[in-house]
Amino acid sequence: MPTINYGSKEVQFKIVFYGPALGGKTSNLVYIHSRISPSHRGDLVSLATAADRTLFFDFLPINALMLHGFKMKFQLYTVPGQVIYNSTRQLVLRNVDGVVFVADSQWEKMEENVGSIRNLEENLQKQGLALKQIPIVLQFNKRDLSNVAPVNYLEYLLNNRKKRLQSFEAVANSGANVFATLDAVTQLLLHRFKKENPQLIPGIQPGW
Amino acid sequence: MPFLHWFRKPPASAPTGFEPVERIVTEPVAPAPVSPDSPVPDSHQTIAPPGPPEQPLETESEPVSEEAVTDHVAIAGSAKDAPAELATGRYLSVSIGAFYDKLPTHLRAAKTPSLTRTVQIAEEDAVIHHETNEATLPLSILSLSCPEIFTRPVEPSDDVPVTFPITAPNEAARAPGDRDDILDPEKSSHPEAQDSGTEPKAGEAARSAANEIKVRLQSILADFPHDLAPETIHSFAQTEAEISLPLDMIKAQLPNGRVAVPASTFAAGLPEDLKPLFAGIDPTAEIPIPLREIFSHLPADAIEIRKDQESDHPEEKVATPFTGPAEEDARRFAQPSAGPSPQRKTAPRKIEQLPVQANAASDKLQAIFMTDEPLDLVTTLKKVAELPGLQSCALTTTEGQKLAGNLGDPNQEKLVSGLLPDLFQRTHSVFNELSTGALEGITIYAGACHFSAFVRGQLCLSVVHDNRPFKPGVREKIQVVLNELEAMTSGAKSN
Repeated sequence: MPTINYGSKEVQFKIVFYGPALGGKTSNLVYIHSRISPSHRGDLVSLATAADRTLFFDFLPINALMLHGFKMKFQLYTVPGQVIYNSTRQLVLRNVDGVVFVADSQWEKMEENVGSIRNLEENLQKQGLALKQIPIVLQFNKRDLSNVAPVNYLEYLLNNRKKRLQSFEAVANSGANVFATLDAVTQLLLHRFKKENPQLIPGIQPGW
Repeated sequence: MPFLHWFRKPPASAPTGFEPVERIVTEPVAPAPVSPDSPVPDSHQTIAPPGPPEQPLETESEPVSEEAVTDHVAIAGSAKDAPAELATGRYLSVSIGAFYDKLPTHLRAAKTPSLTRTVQIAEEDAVIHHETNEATLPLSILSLSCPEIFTRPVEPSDDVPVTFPITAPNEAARAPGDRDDILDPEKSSHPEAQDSGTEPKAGEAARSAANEIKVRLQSILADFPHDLAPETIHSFAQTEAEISLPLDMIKAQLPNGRVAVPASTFAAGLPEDLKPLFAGIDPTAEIPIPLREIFSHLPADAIEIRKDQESDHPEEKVATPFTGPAEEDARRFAQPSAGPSPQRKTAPRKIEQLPVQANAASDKLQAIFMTDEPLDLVTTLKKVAELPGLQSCALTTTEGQKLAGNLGDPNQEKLVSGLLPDLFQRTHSVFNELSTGALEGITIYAGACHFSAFVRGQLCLSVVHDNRPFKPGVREKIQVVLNELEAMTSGAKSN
């Protein structure tokens, strides 16, 4: 559930970029950070090792004004994808509102993709949540590479559920479909929020 | 197994020196550690009712009769365990996760294996307890099925019975967590597979003969496990032979993102003339089959998305703070729409050909190495690795796709072959701006290893040093070899 602060008239959403190691989660945030005006975002906090691997998590706060007087804030997090950092992933997933699952499209990463989405399910389950209960969007990243699996196989691996998730082919390094993915998960969040709080915000008209 | 008799006796009248089975079975599973920072669900959130982790949230599976369970059982672990199932009436297909927690810690290998990987265990080696829905088998049997997860062979003094819960196969084939929500691909593709209690029909042999997939042996050998590879593997690495594998076995593993077959199945599918070469391999060892190769031969209808999917897209589109940048990007990247990718139901696209053919040969390479031996890609890389001061080498594309050779540890190889070409190209672009001349190669000195990389065109040759810089002439020779390989690539392309 988003955090609603009636005093400061703020609604805060937490979106977590989840996925296997080296899949491009941090690249997503770096691109988003580079495209949003500094006046509407905070600094990108990134704790990475010397080899550019996310050690703890990346964090990017984004502010957007709501016309109805509520300031909408988005906190974007990534998790460390490496298997050993599961405790950190569980911590970052606390009170998550929406998830972007960043899959690595390369053939040799298919098993890691499956392992990562199962890990997401398990970690959500520990919070009493099922995958189908929260807004999730799939991003098939690295589509510019030559050794990528076809999208229908990625869909088969990661999206063969009763509830079909929206999916996007993306190239996080160049930014292709990065904002489209974020826009999609945000739409899901806002619709859900509007449905659950009709009295709070009668019409959602977000803007900067 | 001759020592199984003591499993089959009632526990009360089984005076063995081993720990009673009940004690092991009822050993409580350690709860997940809860730290002060553990998530506290919001009071508005829906909390799932407590229950056994493997309990599906919505039951879709049919009740399974006891006879069916007897003939076709699945072994499942806790919620965190990977699905496991009985592949046929004779073998149990067991995920490592189903029993990994039960292994004595002093016998576990340092590296945690993939818990979703399955191992095959002969059904006759296990004792099925129908009353408790559990199966028991000796630790030594497990160690034979997956020796790589043990630090050493299980000695008689270590041998203890290990017991797992068993569940119906329909449940076991699902993903953990949202198991009820995942379509069982095996079930959907083969409705007859649901009839687990039936005996094989007379025409099954003929049907299974038609139910095969042929893949190129060459592609399998490129990623053949180093510890299993016969010494002569290089001599037929460029073979055009194909291997027949059971399509059902392949399809059943596609949802895992990894396909491997037991060495016995691999050997059975080999052409007759090649079978002796692999005769010495442990029949229970796993041979990975590259997905890319499988998909270039897979029937278009082999993978199907379930047809009862419901979209979660909101019908009413609202403008979010990210809609503007998304539309800008869509225009910038000249994509027709920033919307979700369409659900494709067409056959997988044809895989691009490798830029270098493994069987390409060159007189110039023979001259470089001063040999009359015909040099193809594999033997050329072998020659490079034998240059003084080098430990190993691998040829990849600049995208990190491996073409030949190896750098030792597969995990290290993956990382290095992904990093070095990228690093080279970045450095190269910077050097171009600095007008320092073309970058010839890069060397990275790490504590335990030194790596060098050379890039020509789309090819990257990475080498591991013998803990010292290049000896005189070695670097130059590598560059000449790479130039020739690159020229062969260009020649192959133009042809």
